[in-house]
Formats: sequence, structure tokens, C-alpha cells
Amino acid sequence: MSSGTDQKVTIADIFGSMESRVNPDGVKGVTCNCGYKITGEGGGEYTVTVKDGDVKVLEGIHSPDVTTTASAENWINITLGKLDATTAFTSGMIKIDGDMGVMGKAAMFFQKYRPPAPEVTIQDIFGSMESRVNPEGVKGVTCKCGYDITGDGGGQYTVSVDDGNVKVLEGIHEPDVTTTSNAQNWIDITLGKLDATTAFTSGMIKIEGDMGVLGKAAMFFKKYIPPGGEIEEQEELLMLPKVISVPQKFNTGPKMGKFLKGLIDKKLYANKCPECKRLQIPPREVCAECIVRADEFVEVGPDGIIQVLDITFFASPDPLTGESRETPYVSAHILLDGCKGHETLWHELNPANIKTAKKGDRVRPVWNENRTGSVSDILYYELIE
Amino acid sequence: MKKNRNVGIVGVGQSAFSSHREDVNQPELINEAVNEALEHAGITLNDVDCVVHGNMELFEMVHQPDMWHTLGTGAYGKETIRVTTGGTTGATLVCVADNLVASGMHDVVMAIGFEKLQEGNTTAGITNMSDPLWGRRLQTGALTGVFAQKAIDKYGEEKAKKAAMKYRIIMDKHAMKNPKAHRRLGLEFDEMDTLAENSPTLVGDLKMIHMCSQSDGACVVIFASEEKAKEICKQPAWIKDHITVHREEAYCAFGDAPHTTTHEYAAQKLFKRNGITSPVDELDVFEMYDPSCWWGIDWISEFMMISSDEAMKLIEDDEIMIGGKIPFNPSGGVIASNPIGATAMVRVAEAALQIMGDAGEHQVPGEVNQALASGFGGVMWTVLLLLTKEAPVWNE
Amino acid sequence: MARRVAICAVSQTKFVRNNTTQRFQEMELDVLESLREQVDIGFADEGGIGMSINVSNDVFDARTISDAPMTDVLGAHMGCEEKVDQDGAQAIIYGASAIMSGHCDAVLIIGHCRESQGQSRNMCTNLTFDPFFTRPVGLDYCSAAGFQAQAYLSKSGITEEQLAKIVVKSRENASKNPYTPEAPRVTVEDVMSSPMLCDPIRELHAYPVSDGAVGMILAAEDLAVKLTDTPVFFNGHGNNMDSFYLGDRDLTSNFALKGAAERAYKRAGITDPKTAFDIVEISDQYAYQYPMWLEGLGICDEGKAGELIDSDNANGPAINASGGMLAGNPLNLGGFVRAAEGAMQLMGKAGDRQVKGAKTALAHGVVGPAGQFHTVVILGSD
Repeated sequence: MSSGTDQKVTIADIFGSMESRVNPDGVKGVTCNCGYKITGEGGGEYTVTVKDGDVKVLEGIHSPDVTTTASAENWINITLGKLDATTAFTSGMIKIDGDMGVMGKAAMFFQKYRPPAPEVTIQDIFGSMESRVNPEGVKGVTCKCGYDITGDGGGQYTVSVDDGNVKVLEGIHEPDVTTTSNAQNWIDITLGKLDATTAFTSGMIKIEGDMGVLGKAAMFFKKYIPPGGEIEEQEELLMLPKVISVPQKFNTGPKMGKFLKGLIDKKLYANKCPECKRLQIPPREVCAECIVRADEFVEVGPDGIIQVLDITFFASPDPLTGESRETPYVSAHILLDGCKGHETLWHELNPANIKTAKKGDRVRPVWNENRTGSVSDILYYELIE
Repeated sequence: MKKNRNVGIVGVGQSAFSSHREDVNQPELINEAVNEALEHAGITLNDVDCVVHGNMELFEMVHQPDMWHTLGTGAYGKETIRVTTGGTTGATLVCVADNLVASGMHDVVMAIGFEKLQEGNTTAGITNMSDPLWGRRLQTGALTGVFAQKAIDKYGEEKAKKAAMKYRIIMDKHAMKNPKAHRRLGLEFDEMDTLAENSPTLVGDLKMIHMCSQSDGACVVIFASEEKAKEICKQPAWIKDHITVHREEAYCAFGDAPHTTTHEYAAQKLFKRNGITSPVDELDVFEMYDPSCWWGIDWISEFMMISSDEAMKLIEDDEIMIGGKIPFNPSGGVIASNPIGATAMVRVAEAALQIMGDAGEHQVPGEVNQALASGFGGVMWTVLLLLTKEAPVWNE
Repeated sequence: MARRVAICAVSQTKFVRNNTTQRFQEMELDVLESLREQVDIGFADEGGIGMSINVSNDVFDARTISDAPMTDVLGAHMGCEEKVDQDGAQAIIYGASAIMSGHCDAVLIIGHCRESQGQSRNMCTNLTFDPFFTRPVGLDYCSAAGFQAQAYLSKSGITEEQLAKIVVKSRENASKNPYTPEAPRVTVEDVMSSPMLCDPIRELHAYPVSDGAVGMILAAEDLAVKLTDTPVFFNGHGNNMDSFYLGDRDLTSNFALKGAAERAYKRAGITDPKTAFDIVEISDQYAYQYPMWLEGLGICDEGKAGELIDSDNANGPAINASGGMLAGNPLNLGGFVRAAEGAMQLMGKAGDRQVKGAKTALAHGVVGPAGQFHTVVILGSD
């Protein structure tokens, strides 16, 4: 990862943090003194004293059973696991004088050293964005995303994308969508410590405006690396993206087929159960209640009454094309003239009617000019004023 | 009905449920749950006669996934069967395993419910269940505001919304006690209003905070004949009865006419044939498949055969919380974790853990003699399973 | 001891190359109506059909929960319906278990498949493979079978001419079976000169693309004998799973099939499979599988299948009197139709292809790449 990883790691911090990293199992019953002579820039001399499991780290060399000598750079690399200790010893990069047996035990004295967490600021996250642009993600995109980061260390920013050209401005400037979050939550989301969906779901971040734009924004930038590198390097696992499709031809059969053909002539056909007399629209091969074929067709509608409205603000991608539709849209169950009870037709309502439409309102179909015998032969239903 | 022989649940395993399981592929995820279940039962793969597998192909776009998954299920050289029925799959797999053991065909059966929803688009996957000639353009997965509207019409807006959020926060409080749960948000009751206000709207009054998660995960349950179960396990969870009720494809319920839901129908039938007259008093825990808190509050009355006012009171008085009269979803339920092909099996697995006394921090206090688990899916379908602590006795 | 289970009624549609006139629903409805004409049974928890099982596949149907549209024609509105997503022969085993367990008294099973709907069945079966390696290299059931065919032919010494004879015989038998897709009789030369699909599998070596539905009603013995004079008893079953990666298997070992057969024979109390059956119906998706599966089942000794082909198995059981899968059934209905054919033979209702006095039958189904999973069902008239 970043070559800056080591900047924050110092010999003083490695030895200074040792007492807090004691591995109780490793020091149990052990009594010894281990000296360390760390040479070169940033070096120093230390003694780790263990007395029946009790660990103290002292500055200077104090009657050691064994003394290790290494350069500061090599010792840091060994501590971070970048340099293998045995290799370093074998190749003379570190020298060991005294009781080798004690050294064997010393490897178990402490838990793994973690470099101090780097200082991450909102300013750095937004300031580094222009250098982190992902060309694939912004290709052909034009939009403005505002960010209102509140609380200590916060600020206001606008990410402006103009046909793939990215600028990050201070302040909020005519955004298509604005995200509001406090500084700490936004830092945690950026570092992957807080799941963005969870934060959104639970209201820790608020979003106003075009959600679709935000979906794209997730792809605008490459991953943020904090100053001083990632806190913990992890092996990155690959993910294989694929869009899978197998082209289909769906047969309509004599029931659905008759119904779909009817739409071309602006006619709506239901079929009638010979036993319970209920109507089915769109028609189905069998009446599930009576388990008999329903062969008789009845023309119904085309106008009707709204029974159920579902106003959808979250669009799922079309399973056949992968494209997401515009929101909000209204899915509705309509009781067509000539039908009763649960004999409703499922279609959509004109989005322009969202604010006023309610259960019981009368509606009529708006027909598509080019009708092919499909669900989109009716554009939508609309309120009859 | 007389069961040919008794069947007990002797082991349960669950992977960690999360939307971040990039660390494992599909067979590896399954294998986590398989190993945990075998360990819980204290048996090895060699003791398993038959592997039952289920999930939905179009969520991950893998055809006949039991073939590839064999790497993780351990089905090599074993008898197997693959059954899927939508959201109910996990519960249906339990019915399958019960039949396979009760029939005498197999002594030890391992059932595996699985889904890795992050590897596909869940809402689009569900939308694909709709008729390609009509509904596919109209459906938005399993999202609907109809049930929120129904509750608001019934109780009034303020009461309904308060009950929904109370239910939601109870589920989160339960999930906080379950280390396997996917969403553990640490919600508090006094945050109710701000949470509902800040959470984005999905459909109508259904907000994101109300809805279940989309999780990756696998669940494994091991079943054994009475003889074997008593050998393997100190306290098996016995399968007393199960019932499956599906509905016609076109869910003809959107109009002004009364209709019996599959939940009501299944509950009435199951309780009747098992002599249960007051489920709230006679059941000790209920793991309910609750895809959203609106559905959750609506279904309490349907499953418990009580009025909706009584159902409201159960929520208000904390009676559905751990420690209450009839704890619902001590695991956190579906709102907390939802790997769809496994979800309904998790309900049974969690009910079984309660009977076995192995639920850990979310174990309900007191004796669990009788537990109910439900599955939900398809076009408003229901599977109900009744588990008992005592092995059932069958009279001629 | 669990109660016995019998098949009381069997029905199938004609399998056609491209059914353009019906949706799935109507294909299954045709089967349901035919079954209910044969036996007088209603839907009920006790004494009736208490469970309906659908056999279908989401990828082939291009539909999540592909049984949801079938509930109506399975008579399962406000009733129990489940879907087996494997070869339909597996649904017979599962249906039988539901009766043997005491959970219900009768089970309805109907399956459908429309191989013509998607652009290519190979595009569907390619999706069986893991997305990282075996899928991108282009494996599907046909190409996987190609590997197995190469390995098996070189081990067994089965010749191109013998493979051709299998196809000729299948078409000859199918000409007496009104349910198979119409296909012209062919000669050995026709087969040997047909285009190569996947070396050494030629076009005429492969089962045809077809659409259709098949179903049956199972019932507990005491109910079955009231419903029909010709119950066909479910006497044994077995299945077995091989490992996934082709490289992990010995493709010629018949590991999965041998295990499945051994389990079925043990349950049915069969010691010598060579003489145990009057009817053998195997799922030969590709011509090379006919000898290979017969060896795996122990119907002939290993290495002797060539002789069986040349002698037309004159002294043994009737093998694929229906024409077999080579004459046409879609992927997930292969073993289901084999069992239906076996049952029709034992009922004496097999028409022109009837084998006189048939009393025992073996039906075989297979799914997965290069025979990863096999199912064997054993039926008897007593």
C-alpha cells in the first residue's frame, strides 16, 4: 500500500506501547531482562524486564540476559511483519548477544503491535477527492452532489461533475442531491467502519434530492487512503462482476393471448369461472378456487375505481434490462366496471395524480399509440376529473 | 394423522449473517453453517444419510446450485434432494427433512437453506417471480405499503406508527443479544420518532427502517429419528406438526370483500389438530417470519387468533419481548437478518435452540415446552411448524 | 414399518419441439385433468390429495419461484404445494416419503419444462458451473458430457457404429410412442454423418429440445387399491451425489450411479439386477450414456455393453421401450417420464409399446454435469 505507512511508526511508540500489549499467557512464570540497542535515526536503548509475569519497559540497558542490536528501520519492519526476524538474524541485520533461549520466549511476550491510527479529517477526505477520481465512474456523468458535514471538523462541499470533469468546491452550490451527516459518521463511512446503508436506514445520514444521482456517486472516486496509509493492511479479495441473461420467448397461450390481443383494440377481456362465476383479469387457464377451466370471456372496463394504491419511492432495476425507472411511481389495483370484490386489474397510475388520487376515485386508461399486445399498451390509468 | 415415527432436531448451525461476506464464496459460506451444526449435534458428516438443499436460483444466477455447492455441503456420496418454494423455502426444507426421517427412509438428515443476496440484485430477483407478460413491470420486489396503510386505517395513524416502531425497536433489542444477527443497530425506544422521520421512504408509509435486511448467510438444521436423536442429543426439539398453505398465483385480495389469509387459515388448522385453544398462553416462544414491522404488527393477531386490539396490547405491554408472555423473535427476526433461502429455516432453528436451551444470550427465561415457527413467501404463502420439548405420543 | 405407497394414475402431454400454443399452466392443466379422469380423488388432508408437488426449474422458466404460477393447476390454492428442483424422479421419492411419514394420504406430482423457451439450453446449464473458472471456460452439460464420452468410449471400446445403433433403435421404439416429439427414423449412416456437437457427441447422439408436462398421483396402499385396479407400487429408491469438479472425478467410474443403484436394490431387496426387471427405462441424454448407465446399474457387466447393443439385449429386460430420453424429454423431466413410462407398462396401458406381462420396472434419472447426480426408482405391480 502507501509508502507512507511507516511515517507514524516510531521506535518510541513500539516500546512505549509494550506494557499495554502484554500477552499474559506468554509471560506467565517468566523472569528475565531483554536489552535492545536500536541504532540510527529514531533509535534508542530499552530493557524489557519480566519478573514472574510482571512486565516493565525501561529506558537504557539494565543487566540484560540477552541484548538485541538492530537499526531503527529494520526493527520497525520486523515489528510490522515486513521483515522476517529469522531472515534478519541469519543475514546479520540484527545481532543477538547472550541467552538465545530467552529470546525464543520473548517472541511470545507481546500481542501484535498496531501503528497509531492516522488523523483523518473531513478536509482531507474532500481535499483528496480530485486526485482520487475514477474515470470509469464519472464517464458521461453531469451532476452536483452537495455535502453538509456537521459538527466538530465539519464543512460544506459540493462535488461538481461536468461530463466526467470533476471539481470539489467549498460550500453548497445548486446540488441535485444533498447528503447531511455529522463529521464523525462521515469519516467512519469513508473508512468503511460504518456501513452506509445502515447509517442511511437508521437516519444517521440524511439524503435530500435525486437518489439516483447518489447511486452513481458511489462510483466517482477510488478508495480513500488515510494519511500514513491504511490502518491495517488486509489482503484484498477479488470480486467478479457479471451480467447474466438468457434471451427468452414467452408464449401467451389462448387465455393470456386473447387478453393481450384485446389490448391492441383497446378492449379489456376477463375470463369467467363456469362454477363460481368469478372474473379473472388478466385471464388465467383455470379458476384456482374451483379447479376448472374458465373458457368464457367477458369484456370489462375500461374505466374503473381505484382499490389499492402503492406509491413507490424506491425503484428496483428492471430485471430484463438492468435499468432503474423514475420514481415515484404508483402501482394500483383497479376494479374495472363490470367486476366486483377482488376482481381487480393491476396496473399503474399517472404519476401526475400522486398527490390527489385516493381509494374510490374513478380512473380511465391512457392508451399507448403504438399497441403491440403487451402491458405497456396502457401507459397508465389517470383520474377522471 | 399418525406419524410413522418421531423426528427430533439435534443440531443447528448458522453462518454469520451480513451484507459483507466478500470473504467467502458460496460453498464456503454454506460450509460454515454445516460445520457449526455438526459440532452442535456432536456428530460427523459420516453420520448424515441425506442432504436437503434449497435456495432461489435467480438470486445468485446459479442453475442447480446444489451441484457446485456440494463442495461446501458435504453431499458427496450421499443421498440428496433439492426443494425450493420462495421465501418459505427454509421452512419447507424442514418439512421435507421431517417427512424423510419420519417415513423411515433416512435416520439422519441435514437440511441446508442458503442465500448470498449480495451476489445478485434481490429486489429484481423477487420481481422476476411476477408474470413476464404482465406483472414484471409493475412489481417492486416484496416492497409494498399496503400493510402500513391497512394498520393506519385500522388503528389511526399515530397509534399504528407508534406500534410499528415499537415492534421494530424490540426486534433490534433482541438482535443485540444475538451475535449472528446481521443488523444490530442499538436502537432505543426514545429514538422512535426521529428514526421514523429520518429514515427514507420506500413505498407509501413503508420506510427503510421498517424493512428487513438483505443478507448473505446459510442455516443448517440436523434431524434424527427418535431412536437416533435420543442417542445423539440430551434434549432434542421434536417436530410435532407442520402445515403448508399456498395461495393462487394472482393474489386476489385487493378489493372490498372479506378473505381468510393463509396465516389465519394455517394457524387455525394447526392449532385445532394439536388441541391448542389459546396460543398466547400455550406457546412459550414464536419465531415469526416478519419481513417488515408493518407485517409483524399485522400478523400477531392472525397467528395468535386474537383481536387486533389484543395484539396491540401485547406490543404496548412488552409481552412480545424476551421475558414477556409470548416472546416474538428472540433472535431479532427477519428484520435483523434475511438470507432469503435460509430465513425461514432460521425461524425453526431458533425455535429449536430455545427448546434445547442453547440460545445463549437471547434464551427466553423459563421452560420452553412448545414453540412455533413460521415461514412466509411466494404469493402470501405460509408454513407453520410446531416444536415440542417432550417427544409427541401418537394414538391410533 | 411405514405403509406402502403406490402410483394410481399417470399422465403426460405429447412432448413437442416448440409448444407455441400453451403457457406452462395449461400444459400442467392438461395433465391434471387426465389424472383426475383416471381416478376419483379430491383434495383433502385425509383420504384425498394432501400435498401437491411441482417439478420445474427457475432458470429454464426464467422465473423466480417457478412453482408460484403452478399452484392453481396443482389444485393447491389454500393447500400444500412444494417444488422439487431436480429430476422429477426425486419428486416421486419425496412424495412417497410424505405418505409413508403419515403426513398425508395422497400426493399429486406434476412437472413441466420448456427447453424451447430460452435461446439455448446450454446457456442455462452453463450457469450450473462456478462463476469463477468452469463457467467462463465455457462448460455446459453438453460439453461436460463430451469429456465423459471421450473417456468412456476409450475405456469401453464402444464404437461409433454401436452409438449409431442406439439412436436408430431409440427412434424405432419412439415411433410406437405417441408422446415423443415426431422425429424421422434414421439409419446408422445418418447418425454417423450427423454434425459434431461436442466431440465425440454428434447432433443425433443428443436428446432433442422439447416442451411438455408429466404427472402422477401417489397414494397410501389402502387408498390406492380403492382408487385403481392397477396400482403400481413404489418398492425402492436410491440416489447419490458425485463431487463437483470434473477433474476430481473418474468420469468413467459411474460412482454416483452405482451408489444410487446399490441403495435402491437394497431397499427393494434385489440381488441380481440383470434378471430383476421386465422394464428398464434410463435417462440417456446422449447416446454414449445408454451403455454407460446400463453398466452402472448392473443391467449388464462392465465392458459388456457393446455386446448388449449388438444383440439388442434379446434375452434381457425391455430397455427404453419408450424410446428413452434420446427420443425426447426435457432435462428435469427425464427420470420422471421414465418412471411414468414404467408405471404405464406395469398398468398395461402402454399401447403399441406395451411389453406383455411386465411386473417390475426400473426408472432412472440424472442431473448435473456428466452425471453428477443419479436417481433410481424401482416399481412393481405387487
